[in-house]
Amino acid sequence: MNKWQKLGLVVVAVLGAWVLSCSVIGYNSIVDDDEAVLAAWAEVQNQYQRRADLVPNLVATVKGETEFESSTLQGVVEARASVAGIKVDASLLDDPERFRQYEAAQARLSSSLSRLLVVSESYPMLRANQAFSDLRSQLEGTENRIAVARKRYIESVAIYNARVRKFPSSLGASLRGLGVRSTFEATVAGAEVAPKVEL
Amino acid sequence: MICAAHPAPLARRELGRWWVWAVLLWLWGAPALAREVPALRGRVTDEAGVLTASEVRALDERLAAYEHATGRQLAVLVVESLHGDALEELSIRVVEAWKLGRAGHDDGLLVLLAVEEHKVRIEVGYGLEGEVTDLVAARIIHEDMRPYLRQGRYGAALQAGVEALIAVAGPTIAPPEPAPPRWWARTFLGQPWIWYGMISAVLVMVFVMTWLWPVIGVIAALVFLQVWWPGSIACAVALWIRWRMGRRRRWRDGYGTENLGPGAWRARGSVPTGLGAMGILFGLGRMLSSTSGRGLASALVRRIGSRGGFSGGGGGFGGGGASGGW
Repeated sequence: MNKWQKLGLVVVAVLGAWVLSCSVIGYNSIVDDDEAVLAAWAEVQNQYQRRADLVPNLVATVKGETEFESSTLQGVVEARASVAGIKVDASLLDDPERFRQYEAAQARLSSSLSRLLVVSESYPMLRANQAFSDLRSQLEGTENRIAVARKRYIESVAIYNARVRKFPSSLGASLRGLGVRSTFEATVAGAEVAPKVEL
Repeated sequence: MICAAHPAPLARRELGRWWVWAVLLWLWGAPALAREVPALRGRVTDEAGVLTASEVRALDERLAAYEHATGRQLAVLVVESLHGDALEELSIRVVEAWKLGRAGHDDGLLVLLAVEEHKVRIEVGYGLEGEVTDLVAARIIHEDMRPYLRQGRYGAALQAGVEALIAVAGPTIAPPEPAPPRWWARTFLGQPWIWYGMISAVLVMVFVMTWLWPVIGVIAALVFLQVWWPGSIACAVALWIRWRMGRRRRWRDGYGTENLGPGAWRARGSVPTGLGAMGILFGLGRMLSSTSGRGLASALVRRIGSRGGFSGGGGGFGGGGASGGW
């Protein structure tokens, strides 16, 4: 074996070790998990946006139909405004404090909307209104889509976070500069207390 | 768990009795766990037993005809009870397990009826959300299905619901699968597993014959090149490996020992017989590669793979659809 053959062997061995160590610490596969989290988050955003777009129509329909309980309606309008006030981008996922605020705002919108639907039961005029019942089924459908999107986001973050925190793959994640992502609480704050409805 | 809690060693009889209790406890506690997703056996699954055989058959035929015309997979599931689960949760778990609809088109749809809870849900795949919006699904439940459901006529309700869904989703033929850009991709990618098995069996036989009988391999590779070129490649690969191994053996052992290595195993027989056998193999390979061969393989898979003749195509769902009650 001459000098050049030895040199070639060393180069091949170093390259092989490098590729092998990259795959062991998951330097590339962490990117797949990261992308899965971002895709799941985009879907959650999409469905939240869909709900937010329904709210103005719903408010207009309820307002136009009858003398509706104004505090309930006001609650929905305010919650919608607070959701719109939070700037949403990918950096939200890396900022637990803003993430929590955003989640709280969405939860407030959820509960105010469900309260509106419950209260609307006591307005026969509203119940007979075709536009309102259409909006209602659209809203219910969107709430279910939100639930599914959130569930999938939670699942993808669980996989991603496990990879970021477990040993060999944590090296790859820290080389990429990727950290643990925020996830949704299984239940939002105050969800264990049933909302009080006075009719 | 209870076993571990028991402090004293038990007599044999006592132990036996204890196992009976454990099994009883388990049987009693089992239904309290989250509801399991029923196995997918056909387009219509009636766990509650509220549909008559003719109703099931009629629904199944209607859904099968629709699938053959458009490729869209619709399925019906009737459960006795949700066992405390939310209707939407069971529904999404079922469609995630069943994967109704074609992959890439996501055009599946599930109608789920929970008899005890008086609840019904239409779960819509991504690809049909444009046609069957949440609103449309809710209207179908309220206007087409609910009148029958209130009378307890489940079969009629499902029939009406399915007809309404088909009318909304449209009898149009879905856009065909985009053709892969290259002919070899069309021929060799995305075939059923059984087809790969048969093709590789033929290739292996060509390889082995060439190995045992190099002369026949050379002639067959040239003569049958126009018949089925992958076979010629198998011949060439076999000849090349054989030649390399022979050379290495000579290099290692010196010359004059040719009869000991791979070259020593040599089939005997007349050239026409060997060429005839090769010809049959090549013809088989050509037949398998042709469109009809691929069709045959997928027909076989359909027959063997799922005895009910129905399985999900890999479609995705995102929670679209509507729920209702009666």
